[in-house]
Amino acid sequence: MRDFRLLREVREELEDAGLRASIVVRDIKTSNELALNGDVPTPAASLAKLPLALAVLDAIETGQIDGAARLRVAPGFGTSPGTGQFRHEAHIAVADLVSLAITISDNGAADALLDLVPPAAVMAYLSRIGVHGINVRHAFGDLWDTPLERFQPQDAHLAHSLAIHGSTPASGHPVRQLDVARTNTGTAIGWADLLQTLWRGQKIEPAVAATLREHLRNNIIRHRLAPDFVADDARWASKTGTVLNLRHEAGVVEHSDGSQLVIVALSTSSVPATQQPAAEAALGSAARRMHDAVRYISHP
Amino acid sequence: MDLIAACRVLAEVDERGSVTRAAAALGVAQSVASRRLLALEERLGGPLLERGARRTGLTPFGRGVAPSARRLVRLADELEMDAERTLRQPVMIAVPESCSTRDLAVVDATGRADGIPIEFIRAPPPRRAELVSSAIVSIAVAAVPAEEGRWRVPLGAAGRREYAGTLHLSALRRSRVVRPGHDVDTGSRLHITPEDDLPHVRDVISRAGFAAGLVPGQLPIDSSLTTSLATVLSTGDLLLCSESEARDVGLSWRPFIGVKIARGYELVASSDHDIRRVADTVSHELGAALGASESSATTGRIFDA
Repeated sequence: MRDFRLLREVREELEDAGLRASIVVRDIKTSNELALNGDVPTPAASLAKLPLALAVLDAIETGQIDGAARLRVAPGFGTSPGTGQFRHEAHIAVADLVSLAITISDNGAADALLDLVPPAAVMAYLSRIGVHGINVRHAFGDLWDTPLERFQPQDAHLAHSLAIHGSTPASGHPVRQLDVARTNTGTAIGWADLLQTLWRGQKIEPAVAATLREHLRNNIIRHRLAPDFVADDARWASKTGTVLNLRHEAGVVEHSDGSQLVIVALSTSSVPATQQPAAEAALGSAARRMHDAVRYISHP
Repeated sequence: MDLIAACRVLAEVDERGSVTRAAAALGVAQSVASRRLLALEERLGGPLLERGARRTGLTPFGRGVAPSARRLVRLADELEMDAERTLRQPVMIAVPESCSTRDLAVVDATGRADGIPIEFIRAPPPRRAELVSSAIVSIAVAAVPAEEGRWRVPLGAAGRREYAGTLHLSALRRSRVVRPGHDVDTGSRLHITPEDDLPHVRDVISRAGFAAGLVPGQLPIDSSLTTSLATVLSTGDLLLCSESEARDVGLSWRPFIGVKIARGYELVASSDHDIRRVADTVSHELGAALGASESSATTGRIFDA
């Protein structure tokens, strides 16, 4: 009953900020969970780099790939952070590409890795560790080829209006990056399963899990949920995903008392604006409220 | 020839027996009456008047057509009376709900002075269009994009507190700090009334608001002006309205800076003549009632005198 009321309030707050969101908060040890629309498939945006990184790190660990081998990364001419800003061809070691893809969400790095470990291999790895609800289908460079990139900045709201109002029944969308049947997708429960598995480290090679956890702790994109979770006694490790009107973040807050909670927030905005600080804040605040509720249940 | 005037003479001669008495009854010279009868004889193709030395009065032909002439005269009189009555009927105009009673009374009074009494129905924009298309009113003040309208009404934000200067929408932006149990948006919502729930106003202010970092909940669209006003008075929120509207409801008004937003009004009717008649006589007063920028400085001319 109390949860029901909390979820309703959270949903109203999010609606007020123009957001429709899936939020899952889960205690890693007890699996106590609070979920809002947890099983709605949502385009994953850069969250899809998580399973990719896992599959690559696993291939390095098992010796299928040499982590020190350098891959050629084409210049990006301003299409994403990191190598996307490079003007010249670069040669970067596989293990470092993983770090770039996770910590700064480098699309060029992720695509170079995807050449090495294609979507089918990533899906095979996910099914091996028993994580469902996530689909990896295409490369990340595509994320930067949305209608938004074809408009002048002053007309960006047109691209967002298209993203918001263009959806077709059953989550279809003329914009490929937003069409759950064609793009990389995941449910909030699916992402929570992935992170819980990663932190528990049972089905994943311990060294692989440790490396990825460390990368996630070093994520430099910290404006969405991080402000509501970081403190000197709480570490925040996460990966964000943003495309058009989608704002996601999936992470783990590690409290100094040892409790660890997975927080996954996937959101779709109805506001046709590129920068939406209030939406980011509302998402953080909603996640925090649900986190507090779960933590209270876990430690009465 | 004037058929009706000639028929009048014929009817009077039939009734009174002579042209002399008929002319006197109609208040015209006998020569005029005679000329009219002559013209009528030519038109009808037979003699109406006995012109012998012994006899006066109508010929049998004249007596035969006299009843029809009388009917024609009576119909002509009715026609003129109908026309007069119809002209005196008040013109119904559908106006925005925000128009103040006094301003509308000034419009009516000005119209009356020129022989056009006006009555008003206050209604929101979609209802006004409906009223005129279903001919319940003869004219509607339609909401149109500001640059296309006859009148332009700049909009701003009105609140219960006295503020000088202008308002930038980003001033309403939420703080990241949220006090538990406190409504974060109190005082930072801009209420939109049904009068402005139109693409050329609502979408423009929303886009500007979103660009300034506001959330949809900060730009609520209310069901009525009364609802909006109640929230504004109780929470300190702001109301999207014109300066004159703010004055009427006792709020302090500020224009926006950085976003030009205005209502546009145009007269819509099934007859262009109705529009011309009203526009020629009360355009200025109606503009004032709408809160139009050009005429908002002065009220109706007959009361200023």
